[in-house]
Amino acid sequence: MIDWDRFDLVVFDMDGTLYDQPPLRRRMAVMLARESIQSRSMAVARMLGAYRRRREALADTTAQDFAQEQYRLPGRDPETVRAVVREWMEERPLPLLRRFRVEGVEALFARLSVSCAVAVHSDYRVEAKLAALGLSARFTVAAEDVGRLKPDPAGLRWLMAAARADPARTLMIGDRDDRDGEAARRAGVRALIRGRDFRHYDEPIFRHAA
Amino acid sequence: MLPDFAATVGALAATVAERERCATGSVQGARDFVLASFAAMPVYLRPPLRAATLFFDLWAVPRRGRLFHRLPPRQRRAQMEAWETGPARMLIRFYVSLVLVSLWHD
Repeated sequence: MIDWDRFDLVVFDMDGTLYDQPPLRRRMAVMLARESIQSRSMAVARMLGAYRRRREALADTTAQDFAQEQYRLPGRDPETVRAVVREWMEERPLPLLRRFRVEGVEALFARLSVSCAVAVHSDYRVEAKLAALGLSARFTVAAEDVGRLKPDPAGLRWLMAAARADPARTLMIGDRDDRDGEAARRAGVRALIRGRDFRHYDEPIFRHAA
Repeated sequence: MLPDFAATVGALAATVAERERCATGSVQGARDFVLASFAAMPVYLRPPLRAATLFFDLWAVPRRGRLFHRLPPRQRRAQMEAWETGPARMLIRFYVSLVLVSLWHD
């Protein structure tokens, strides 16, 4: 049972929390397969795979220059990597996002916004995806803004400072316990994990939200 | 000795995963991801893709005496890489792309 009245700030993760990731990933994979066939090259698929691994590795370190460091792949021009990532991970998924939005999230955002601050904290850029989902939040923060990936709590702390909220009055809602849950634990914040604590936002756990 | 679509996809996923050693993710997850992607494809694309995949599985029989999905890893990889640069390279590129995406960590 959640006492929703005790929260001043509710922070949502983006990918896998506000929309279903597996069906989007399958669509993107088929698009990428088509691109590989047309271009007769696996370069983009390999580059994106290497970038994902680089990000996962950086999540466990404290790189000083994270914004640049994430694009530094062996034998690749960082600008090319950045352009490919922007196209395939930020721009191309946008038109598909709305249809995979998690049930009940729009109504929950609206209800929560009445009584507390709603924020979105993602390792990737937030604004365009949030708009594509038809949602809005008072505060947003991405890994590049704070130079740290989850589970580092820097993003969560940045949001709490912006919203002037205490950890005890903040709730993190995410889909990965090893990233969102761990970031919340390090910041002293309670967390709900999609897939473990709930599946969608029409469930009873959210009934009394605001 | 009948060709098996799901087993062939699983064998291809394992072969790609073995080649791309630095990828994370599981072979079983890759197989499931490719089969789910196949199921989500437009209806008109599925029969030709399934037929081509079964043909790929059968291709090994006259040469190796076994279906592709029953070959040892080294022979699987040799067949996959031969097809990757041959006339049916689009089929293999399709599967390799899907498997590569599935092997990225969530």
